[in-house]
Amino acid sequence: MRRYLMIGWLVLGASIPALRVSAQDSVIVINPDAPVDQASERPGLPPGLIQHLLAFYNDSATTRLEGEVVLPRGARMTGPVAVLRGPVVIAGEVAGPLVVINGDLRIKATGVVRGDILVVGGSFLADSGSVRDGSTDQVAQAAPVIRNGSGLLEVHVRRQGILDFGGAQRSFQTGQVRTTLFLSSGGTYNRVEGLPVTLGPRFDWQAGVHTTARLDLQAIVRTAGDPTDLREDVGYIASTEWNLGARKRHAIGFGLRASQTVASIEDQPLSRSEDGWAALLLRRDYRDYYINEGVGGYFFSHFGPDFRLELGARSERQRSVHTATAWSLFRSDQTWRPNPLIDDGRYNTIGIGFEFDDRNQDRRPSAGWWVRGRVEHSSSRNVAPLSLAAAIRGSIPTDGSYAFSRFWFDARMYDRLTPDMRLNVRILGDGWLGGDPLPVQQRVALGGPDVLPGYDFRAVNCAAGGYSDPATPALCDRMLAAQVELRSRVHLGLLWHYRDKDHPDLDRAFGLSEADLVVFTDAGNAWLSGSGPGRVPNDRIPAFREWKADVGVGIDAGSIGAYLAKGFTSGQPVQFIVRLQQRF
Amino acid sequence: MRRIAWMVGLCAALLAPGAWAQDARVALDVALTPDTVPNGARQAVLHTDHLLDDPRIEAMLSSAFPIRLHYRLELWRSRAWFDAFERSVEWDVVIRHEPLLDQYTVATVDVRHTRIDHYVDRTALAAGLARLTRIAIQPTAGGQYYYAVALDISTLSDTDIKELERFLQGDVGPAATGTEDVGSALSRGVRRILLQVAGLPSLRLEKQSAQFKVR
Repeated sequence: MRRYLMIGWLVLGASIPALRVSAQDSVIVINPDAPVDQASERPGLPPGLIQHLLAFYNDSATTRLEGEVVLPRGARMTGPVAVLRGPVVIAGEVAGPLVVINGDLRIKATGVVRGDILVVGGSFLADSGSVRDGSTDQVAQAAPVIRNGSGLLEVHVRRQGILDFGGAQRSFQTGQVRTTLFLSSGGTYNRVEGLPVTLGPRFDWQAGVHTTARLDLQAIVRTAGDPTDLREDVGYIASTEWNLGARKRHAIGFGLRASQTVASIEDQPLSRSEDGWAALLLRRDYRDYYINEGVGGYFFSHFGPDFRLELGARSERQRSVHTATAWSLFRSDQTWRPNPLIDDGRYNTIGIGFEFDDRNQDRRPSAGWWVRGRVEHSSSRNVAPLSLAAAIRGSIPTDGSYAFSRFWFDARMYDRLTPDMRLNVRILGDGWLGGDPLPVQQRVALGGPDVLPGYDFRAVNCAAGGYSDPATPALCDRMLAAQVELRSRVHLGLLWHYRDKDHPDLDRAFGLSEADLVVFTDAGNAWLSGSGPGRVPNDRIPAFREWKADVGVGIDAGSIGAYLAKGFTSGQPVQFIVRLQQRF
Repeated sequence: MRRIAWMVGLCAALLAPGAWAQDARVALDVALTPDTVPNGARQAVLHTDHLLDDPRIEAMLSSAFPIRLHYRLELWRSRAWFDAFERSVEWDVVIRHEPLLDQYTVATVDVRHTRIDHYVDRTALAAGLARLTRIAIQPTAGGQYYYAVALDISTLSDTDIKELERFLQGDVGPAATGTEDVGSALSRGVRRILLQVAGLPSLRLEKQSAQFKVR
């Protein structure tokens, strides 16, 4: 190895200032600070050449071919010939000009081309003995062209971003409007809807150089039957968003939305997709739901590339929904945990939210900050409150004056300590800010696989005063939690290779080559706020000795992680948790 | 507790000596440029060798599956307790065999540049891949530094292959799923099955350079 490096030194010499080298040089230089090499940008074909390609291909006299073309020895083809995306092998004779677009051309020794040859976006090879009696031009750079529905060639316009829903979808372009028809799952599975299937069209309009608009019309088909009449079998989302800005860092815009969906009460203790798998496989649905139907609008603005501010208002009718007859793979003989009732009513809400995100990547970040926050004020003139024990919640006014405020924030920091070690920190807060007591669908709890994995599901749910409900609803006014984890890359080398000399095609490798060893600790509390026994004054948080805390260790292999967590409270059993994504 | 015992048993089985082995013939090395700059700053020079000696990689390459080498080089400042990350550079090298021309194409793609080399045969390809790569970043402030490099070698997935084909054919936009015809969809499906059955070679290598001091 060192021998190669010594040879390299001879080549390098004192050549550090030389930044760019040509192909086949002995040393390749990667220089992220060099100016953009215009020659390497795509597409870069002269417009005149592209027009020539279009005219040649679309000419009615041209014989158009697509894909692999082999003209065997003795065969003859006349007239202008255009081939899109070869490769083309000519062993016979072509009597006329030949154009190959985005494909390779090879003329074999017996091949004859009696006309001009043009190869764009491919290689050209002529064996000795081949005959060419016209000019030959070859351009390595590919042509940004595509065949349209009529079979003619056109310039391929770069499309706007399309969300990949992981389901079937079909897109087509009409002028400046791109239409996408899609059919996909709602991204989760739950005990209220079963598998929600979304379908409908989406229209993306390039309204101007700096203006884009989107109209999204989705129908949501709920596959699980509802034993009551409280839930419709079909929901909907109709939304539009206008983005007025060339780039994200300068964009402003607004959106409108009308929907009837099944909404989740809390965003924890598992992500939507993980909760869906737990429900589908194990009949464990860790979230609660309600029907949310209404309209709303929002304005947003980006201040720099990482910061977004949003102002919004909405009016929603929220109502209870019951557990449906949803299916699960295992434990199908067990009953689902009941979905709790909520305080039905129409709620009018205004709010402001922000997001700062400078993480290096979304799915498995290793550096940066992700901070989100929201403050909302809601009111209702027709709330129908549930009857809860006074120890949990005071009375809710039903004279039309009901109003409350709520906050939520989630701050995460990702830092790398060494090339193999990472430190991640998260602080999460949620709950009542002011006004009347929160409705059930805005209340919070702690405990479960995500925020406080050393404790059982909703171990802290503020069911005070002997209140008992098999639905185990979240009843706390506020919650605050912190999570710290240290990740260290471990090279497991747990790879087993199956090899059979007689069947090399069966060569496989199984196991893990490396993963993150995760050591973590979490602490948090959820409480009832206000004056009186069992409550924490509104301007205080509970003393730290009253917090729940846990420690744990686990292995995170990327798409799956297994953890053991133990709460500090005596008597808490060790919890075994499987996660399908990074903890946070 | 039974669950824990079960997990421990599984781990013990996995870790049983002789049950597992790792072979990685591909070699990755990172060295430093000579100390010729007044302030002592040095750049990293990478060397990747024996890539084609892995029969799985060569088999995939000869079966027309492109091989992707994803490099990530990081500059770290050494400190007493925890080191400080300074900067990173990422780039890809995609190796393809072109059956029609019976030649190999190596595309080196970083954020700003694309460089394409052609090799007439496997020997030339091996020599080309073994060339040194110098990464033109270096620290400017004083301190003790080192480079850490990670190399992920993988066969492109069927989606990646399609993206690459589109890229090489001039389509710089994102993949469009809506214009796919039945033939393409079938081809894509067959390719996906092949990839799943074949057991893709995938390998990750990591190395650190020696430390150097910037004055």
